[in-house]
Amino acid sequence: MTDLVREAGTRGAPASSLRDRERAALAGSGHLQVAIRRSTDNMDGRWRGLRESLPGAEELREAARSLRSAAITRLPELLGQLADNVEAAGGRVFFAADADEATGYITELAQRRGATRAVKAKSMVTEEIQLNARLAEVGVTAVETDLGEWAQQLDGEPPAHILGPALHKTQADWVRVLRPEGYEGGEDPDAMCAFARRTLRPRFLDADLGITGVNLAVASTGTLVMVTNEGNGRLTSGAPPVHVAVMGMERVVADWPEVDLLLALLGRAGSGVNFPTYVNCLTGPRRESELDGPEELHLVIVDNGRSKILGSPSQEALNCIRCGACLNACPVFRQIGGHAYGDVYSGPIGAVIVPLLSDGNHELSHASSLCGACWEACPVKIPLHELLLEGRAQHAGSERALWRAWARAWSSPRAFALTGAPAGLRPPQALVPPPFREWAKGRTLPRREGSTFRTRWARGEVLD
Amino acid sequence: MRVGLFVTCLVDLVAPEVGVATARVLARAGHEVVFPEGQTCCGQPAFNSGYREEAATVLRSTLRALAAADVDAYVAPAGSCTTMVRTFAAGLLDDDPALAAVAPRLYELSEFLAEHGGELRGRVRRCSVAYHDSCHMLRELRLRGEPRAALARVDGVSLADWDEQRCCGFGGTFAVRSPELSVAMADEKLRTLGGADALCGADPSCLMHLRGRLEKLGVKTPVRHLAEILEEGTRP
Amino acid sequence: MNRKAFLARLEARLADAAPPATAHPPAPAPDAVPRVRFPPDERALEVRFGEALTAIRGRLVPLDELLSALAQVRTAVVTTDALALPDHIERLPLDQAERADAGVTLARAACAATGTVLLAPSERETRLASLLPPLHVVAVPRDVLVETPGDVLRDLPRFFPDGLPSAFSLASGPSKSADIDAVVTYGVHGPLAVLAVIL
Ligand code: SF4
Repeated sequence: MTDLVREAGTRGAPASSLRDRERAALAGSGHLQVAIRRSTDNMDGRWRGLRESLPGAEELREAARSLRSAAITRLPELLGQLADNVEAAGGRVFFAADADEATGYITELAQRRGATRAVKAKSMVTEEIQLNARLAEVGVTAVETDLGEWAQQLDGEPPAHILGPALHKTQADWVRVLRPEGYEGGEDPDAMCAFARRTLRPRFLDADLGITGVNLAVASTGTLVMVTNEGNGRLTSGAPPVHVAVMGMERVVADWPEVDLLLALLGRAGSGVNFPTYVNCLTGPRRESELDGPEELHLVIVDNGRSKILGSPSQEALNCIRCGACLNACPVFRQIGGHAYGDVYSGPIGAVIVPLLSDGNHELSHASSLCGACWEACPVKIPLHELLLEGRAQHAGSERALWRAWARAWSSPRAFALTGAPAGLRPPQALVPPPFREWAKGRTLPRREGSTFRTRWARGEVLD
Repeated sequence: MRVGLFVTCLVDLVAPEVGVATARVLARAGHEVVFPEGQTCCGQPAFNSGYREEAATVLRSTLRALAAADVDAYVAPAGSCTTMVRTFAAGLLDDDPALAAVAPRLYELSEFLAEHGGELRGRVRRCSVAYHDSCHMLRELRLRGEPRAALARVDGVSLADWDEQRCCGFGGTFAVRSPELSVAMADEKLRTLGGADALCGADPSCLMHLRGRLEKLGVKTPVRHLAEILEEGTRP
Repeated sequence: MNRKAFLARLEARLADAAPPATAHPPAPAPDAVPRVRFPPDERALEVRFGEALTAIRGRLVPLDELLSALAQVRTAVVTTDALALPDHIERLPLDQAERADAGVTLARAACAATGTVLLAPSERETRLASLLPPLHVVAVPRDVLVETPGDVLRDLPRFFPDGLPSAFSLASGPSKSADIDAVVTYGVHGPLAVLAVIL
């Protein structure tokens, strides 16, 4: 598992093949699958239940899809408006073309402020740009404060799920991870939770820098909306003297009614609640009349490959609100977990966007049986299975000759008829052609009883 | 009605008994059944692997063969091939007259029976059936009630409770690209099979995969296509 | 990259957009964003607010039970005069919320369907008073009760007539996490308990 895990934290082309990573994930003790099953079944089940109880859930999801699509086609206008309004409220805005620009801006800011301690509220985009490593290079220690993300950081692992970064960890794993930090209790989630509170609280209060993601940014008022269930988002953005919010450029919405709709869906699909526990809405830094809050607010708007998705046939992938529901519903994720995808983004949405964002790891579009459970679960109805197919088509090529030969044969009825192996024949393993050999791993080869259908039809054997 | 069978490549080459059962069931429901010659495959294996041109070549030749038949409707004993023609083909073929002739009249078997099955009824020895919702059929064609209604035409059949909607792990070429994963997914699904007397589905590809896995595991539960159960129950 | 170049790149991509790779294209966006509705419920707002808050592990206490509910509380940061606190509670300065047993603050709005309260800093209210202490006591004036979070988010000028503050939060019950083995735990960062009182 360690190789798997190492690669999961990096960008670009992993050293091992997808198949090897799948095999490694499946070869374990089965703990991984048990833990994932428990977490994802819980979350997927709650979201299913809420879909049924929310009046008009289908219409709301369709509307959300259309509205997200419309916002993405207005991206330049909305981002411009957002930036104007953030600046008008006293915040500063930086547009980062790629990871280097984004991390460069933040590390410079840290150095200007003489910062050495940062707290972070879980954010996938900061994982994507590998901000923690860059901060460490300039002497800033960044502590993850989302409970699961903290455990991942202590354990030297990247997150294994968008919303449940440590969902593959058992309670025994947690004890192992917390022990070196001074935890003396046993496998008791409440005690571990209390320990985390005691340990992390001073970090917030001493931090020079608070770094968060952004779930939605409201163009009309320049407000950054962030959602947490733990409250670490409010602490991270509210306690330190400087707040840096990092957002993927696609997170912008035009106005507040969309926030209402999208939060209702995000809470239900992501956490199985009617509304997220804490929705924190920030418009600029602390005002003069206010008693606390950061002196500086910086918004870093990140492209980092997203503009390659914009205008492409897969543009709808930018509609994603990072709820994790597609991971919870995915039968592949359930078996192999997040790390086997070889990137910070995993599951169906990861398999779609990773190859597009990084122009590597193209194999990921094959990490799906195309069952469409992700599409069914996605609160904004992204047709992920079709986008996976698009990814496959974009990078088809190495098997072209084979498929061409196949197409030539199977577009000719006569050649097609010759394809059928003689009835009842099961050739010895060594003579089986490669795809069938792969098939035969774990399954018996199919065997036809009697003649092909067309032969029987021609002989008049079919009808009563 | 005059019905053209689209048996699909897998049924033709690997599971002809499913084609035979389909034809007989349709005839017993009062339809005239024909088999348009020259059909091969809907192109799905290449399409799902990302080879669209090659898929289009094969699809086009099958559609031409189907369109040449003088029929009122087409029926396929496979949800996934039905989806290929009805849903995905339009993105592969621009303004293809054969597609326009076939797609609106192509039905998956249980879907056809729901509309045109008439009084078809039958009976079998009491047996509990674990019905597998194949993914394209469930999520693209949205056929959930229809196959169950078709089984309800046969007295003696009861539906077993199991993990009916989870993907079986076949996924076309996925099954050979990621064989270990594909098999693990089958096992996940089969975990809940319990004491059902038979496993039944409406997609021969999923059934081939599940049967292969059960056989390998030494589990004797028979795997049967919906058409076979209907055929057995309605024998004259 | 400067803003202009960044946005120009996006303009260029959009100007030359490919058709979407789906057989199920989205419908055009509706003119108005549909409202999130909850199952109809005829009961009074405050009854439903209490029920929703209880469902997420908060509590609505009648005013006359506040004294006993706060019997264990020795220190508090208090940002509102709306509640008369029992005498035994020592009021700490606002910047000492970290030391306090309770934070007592005012809700600017409260949503019956979800048990959510709207919190915002002001000349007298800090961001952290409702967040750092283990107990958050929130006073909810009856006239700020609304149906849903949408009634707040779609009507912000009603609650902030002078414009949006630098921070406001919609808080629903105590701080929670399910990160440890899918077991729900409370109070990992914010309050372990939330008590609401309707005035
Ligand atoms: S693709 Fe859809 S389901 Fe998956 S994380 Fe994004 S919004 Fe959620």
